[in-house]
Amino acid sequence: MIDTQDKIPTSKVERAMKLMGAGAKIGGNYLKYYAKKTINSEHTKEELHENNAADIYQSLSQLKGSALKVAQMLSMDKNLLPRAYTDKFALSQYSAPPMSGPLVVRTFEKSVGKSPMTVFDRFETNCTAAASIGQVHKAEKDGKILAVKIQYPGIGNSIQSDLKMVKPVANAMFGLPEKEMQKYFQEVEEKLLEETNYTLELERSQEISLACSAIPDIFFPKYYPEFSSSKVLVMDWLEGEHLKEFLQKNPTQEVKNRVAQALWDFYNFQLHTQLAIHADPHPGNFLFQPDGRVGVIDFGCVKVVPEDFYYHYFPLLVPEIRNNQPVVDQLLNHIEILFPADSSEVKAELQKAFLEMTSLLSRPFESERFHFTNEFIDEIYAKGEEIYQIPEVKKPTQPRGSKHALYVNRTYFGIYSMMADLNAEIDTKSDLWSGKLVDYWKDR
Amino acid sequence: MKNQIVSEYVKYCLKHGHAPANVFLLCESLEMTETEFYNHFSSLEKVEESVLVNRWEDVAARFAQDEQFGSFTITEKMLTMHFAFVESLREIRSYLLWKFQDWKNPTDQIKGLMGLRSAFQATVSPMLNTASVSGEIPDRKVISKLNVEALGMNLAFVMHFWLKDDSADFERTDACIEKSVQLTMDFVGRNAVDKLFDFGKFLIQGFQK
Repeated sequence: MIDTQDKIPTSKVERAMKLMGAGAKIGGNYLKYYAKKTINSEHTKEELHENNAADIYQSLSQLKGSALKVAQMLSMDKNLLPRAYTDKFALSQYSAPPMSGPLVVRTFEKSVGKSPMTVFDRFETNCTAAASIGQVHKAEKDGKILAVKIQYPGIGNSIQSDLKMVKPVANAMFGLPEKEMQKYFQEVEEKLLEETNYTLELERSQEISLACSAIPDIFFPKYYPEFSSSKVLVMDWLEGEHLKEFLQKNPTQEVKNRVAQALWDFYNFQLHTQLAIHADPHPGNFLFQPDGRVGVIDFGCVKVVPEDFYYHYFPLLVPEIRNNQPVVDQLLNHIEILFPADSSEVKAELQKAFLEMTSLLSRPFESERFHFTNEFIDEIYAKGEEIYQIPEVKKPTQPRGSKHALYVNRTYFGIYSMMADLNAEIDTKSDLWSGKLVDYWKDR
Repeated sequence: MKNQIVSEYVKYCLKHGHAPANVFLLCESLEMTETEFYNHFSSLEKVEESVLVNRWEDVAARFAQDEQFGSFTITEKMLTMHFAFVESLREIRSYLLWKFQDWKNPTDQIKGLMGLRSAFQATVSPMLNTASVSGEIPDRKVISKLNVEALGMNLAFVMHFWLKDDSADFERTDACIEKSVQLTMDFVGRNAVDKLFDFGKFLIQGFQK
C-alpha cells in the first residue's frame, strides 16, 4: 500500500511555489556547503549534491504527473546528473500519491462506459502501484489477474504548465539559458503528451510485443483492447521483481547474464530493425523472474528514430567509419554536434572529445562478448565529466546535439547501467547492423 | 407527472430564454390543466427548485441501498455523491448555464439554491452523524453543525467550476471534486484544531486547580 498524501498542491501558483521552494533551498545548501567548507575542508561536494537532491526530490515528489516524469527523465540521464541526484530521483519512479477510490471508478466509467465492478469479477479500488501519470489497479476476470492502468483526469492539460515550471529548475541544473533548451523541451513535451494517449500506447504495445515475440527470454503481457480506452489500459498482471529486489535475492551470475542478454537483444532489435525503441528503461518497467526471463511493460514512451538520424548517428559506433574523416565531418555536422560557424579550434576540440566518448560507448560492440562492470560505467562518467570541462560544452554558445539523441541516449545510458548493475557478461556482436551502416556510407 | 412538469419547465426556459411568466403558460405547453398542475406543485418557484432537488434526491436514492457505498469511508461517500451529481447535471447543462447567468446577484443565487441546500443537508447530515458516532470524524459539538454547511458550499463551488470548465469530458471538474472534497473533509476530520482545543482545555484545567 502506498500512503495517501495529506494534501496535494492544487493551484498552479502553489505548485510554482513548491518548485521555487526547491530553488531557494538549493541556494541554501550551497551556502551551507561553503560555510562548512571554510571550517572543514573535508566536507565533500558529494554531500552537497545529496542535500540538493533531497530538496529537489521533496519538491518534485509532491507534484504529480509531468513534473514527476521530468524527474524521471533527468534521473535516467545519469551522465548529466551527479549520482546523488540520480539515486533520489530513482525513488520518484516508484510512487506518486494515489487517486481516491471514487475517482478511479468515476474515471473508468467515463472512459470505458461501464463500471469496473461490472466489467471485472473483482476490482481493487486501492491502487497497487502508482505510475507517473496514472495508477495501476489489480483486477480479476475469468480467473485471470489483470493490471488496470488508469490515468489521472486532466493530466494532459497540466503537462505544459508543469513543464514551464520545471524549466527554470532544469535550466539551473544544466546551466543553460531557456531559449537554448527549447527544442529539447519540445521533444520531451511531445513525448509526455504522447504518454497520455493510452490508445496509442495500446497500439504500440501490441505492435512491439508482436515484432519482438521471437526474442528469447523476453515476454510481454497480453493487452485487452475491449476494456481499454484513451484513459484506461488493461493488460495481464505480470509477476516478477524490479531490478533492485531481484538483485537482493542474489541470483546466480548465470541467471543475471541471461536476463541481461535478453534485454540487450531486445533493445538492439528494436533500434536497428524496428527503428523505434521503448524509451523508458526505468526499473519499474522490467519484471525479472528467478529463471532469467524478463517481462516488459509500459510502452507509453516510444521513441521513433528517424531513418535520417539513424544513418548519421549510429555509424559513429562503427570503428571503420569513425576513422574516415570526411564522413565523420558530415556526421557531426548533421547531428548538430558541430556547426559550420565553429572556429577550427572549437571544432577540433569537440570532435576529439566526441569521438573519444563514442569509442568508449562502442567498446561493447567491438568484441564478441563484453563484460559490463561498474568500472566501465565509471569510466563513462569520468569521460562525461571531462567533456563537460571543455569551455564550449560548459558554456555553450548554442545548443549542440540533435533532439532525437535525447531519448536514444537516455535509453542506452539506462541499459548500460542496468547491465553494470547485473555485472553482465553477454554476447554483443554488432555485425547484424554494423554492415548495414558501412554499406550505407560506402559510396558517399 | 412531476418529472414531466419539471423537464417541460427546463425546456420552456431554454426555448424562450426566460422562465414562464405564469403557471398558465407552462400548463399550455404541457397540455395540462392548471388544476392538475397544483396537484403536484404549489408554484413555479417550487418547480424551479425541483430541477436541482430532484437530481440530488435521485443520486441520494441510488446510493442509499447500495451495499458497497455503505462500506465507504465518509470521504469516499462524499466524493462518490459529488461525482454522480455533477454527472447527472450534464443533461441540463445549458439550462444551468442560462440559470446561473439569469441570477443577477448573489442573493438571487443563494435563494435559487436554497432548495438544493435543504435536500443536500437532509442526505448528508445523517451520514456525518453516523460517521461521528463511529468515531470516523470527531464530534465538535456546536461546530460540527458547520460541517454540512461547508460541504454544501463545496458542492456549490464545484457546480460553478463545472459550469466554467471547458476541458474535454470535464476532466478538470473531476480533479476539482477530488481535491476540494478531500480538502474540506480534511477540515471535517480529525486535525490540528482538535488538538488545539484539547491543549486549551488542558491549560484551563491547569489554572483552575
